[in-house]
Amino acid sequence: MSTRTVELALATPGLDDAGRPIRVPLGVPLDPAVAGRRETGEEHMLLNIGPQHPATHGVLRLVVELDGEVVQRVIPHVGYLHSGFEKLGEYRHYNQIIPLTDRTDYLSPMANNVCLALAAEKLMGIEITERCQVLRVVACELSRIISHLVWLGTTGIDLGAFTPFLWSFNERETVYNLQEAWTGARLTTSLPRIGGMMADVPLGWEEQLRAFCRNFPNTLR
Amino acid sequence: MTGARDSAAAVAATFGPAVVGQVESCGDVIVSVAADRSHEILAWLRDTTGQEFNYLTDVTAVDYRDPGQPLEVVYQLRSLRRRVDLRLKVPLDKTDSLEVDSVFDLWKGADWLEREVFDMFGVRFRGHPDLRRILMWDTYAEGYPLRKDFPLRGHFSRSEQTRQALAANPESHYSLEELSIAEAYDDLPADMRERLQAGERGEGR
Repeated sequence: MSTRTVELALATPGLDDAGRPIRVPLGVPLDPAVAGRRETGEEHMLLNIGPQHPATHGVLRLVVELDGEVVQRVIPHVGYLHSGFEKLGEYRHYNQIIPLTDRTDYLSPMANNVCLALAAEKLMGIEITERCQVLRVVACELSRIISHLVWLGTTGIDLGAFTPFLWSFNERETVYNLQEAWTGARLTTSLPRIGGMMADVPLGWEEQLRAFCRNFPNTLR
Repeated sequence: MTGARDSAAAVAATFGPAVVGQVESCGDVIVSVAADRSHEILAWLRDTTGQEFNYLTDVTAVDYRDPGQPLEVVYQLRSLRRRVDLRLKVPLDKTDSLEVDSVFDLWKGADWLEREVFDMFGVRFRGHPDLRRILMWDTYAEGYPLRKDFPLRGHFSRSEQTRQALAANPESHYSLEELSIAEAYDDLPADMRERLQAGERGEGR
């Protein structure tokens, strides 16, 4: 007999005379003769967390082996967000793949868009204009900032600090306004095309960007 | 890039016939080596002074559209000190068993990378401590999704996929392997054992 148990849909109220854990399916009333036995000791419990769980930021599932409250081992299941982008890409031409790259990391969509465009241009030997290069760098940097703001804000929440979350998400909204003015979308930007961009920045956009660059350091402080 | 060219030349000089090809494409230096010597060459690239490719950036694979062309396992190496990138390819004949030595003993980070290549392409890595699917679920029975002969919608029909999804038992979501950790499989009630054996999709193992 093992000293380790699984707690699935079973309760283990105690050990029987032979030292085996007593198994009672949940929902079945407990036999009063069993209740009040000595506690199970030296038993490891297998506990499932996720894939949807309030404490996870996404769909990560963990199967955790516990000795009391001490984690002995964790088995992560990382496939719940797998969407087969590579396979989808096999059936599309390069410009059609750009909307897929929005979703590879939706916290920094513009940087992912640019990566795909760069790879395709490298393969084809395409050189893009200098203005386009500069705008792509601006897009990547904005993506980097908002991605890090989500990390900062949610980590603060996990540690019990609520205020940084509000500040960082407020600044993130400003960048989303910029993204919306440029691409028409707040989250799924699909900004570049192979060899260029879907659009130049609109009139007055640079002024909004400069305002963000002025204000943002103050927020960080 | 000079550094990468030098490394490629050094590999060719040291291992001679084990190097089956060398190209330079889009600014990347790519060396193709025979499958039975790949582990030895990768270890040499990691440990030799002057090479020091101490960082395994990625392990992936490429299946080409032409069915006669071999499937390639790709190792992207980087020397953090020398700031040099080198790509190593291992062509595997698709009519043969797709097997190559695991580099888990050289780079611990190869663990999940090789599992992903196994999951998506069906390449087996000899000596990998825990070679099982990583993105698809354990009981996935349709094959290896990133092979070119794998259709976009999968091998099973939509109705079969729907049937399996509806027959899935959300309660039996622990794999047998996870249960074996707890060594308590034998203690479970018979109906739960049956559900677990059938797996998430009711397919069996």
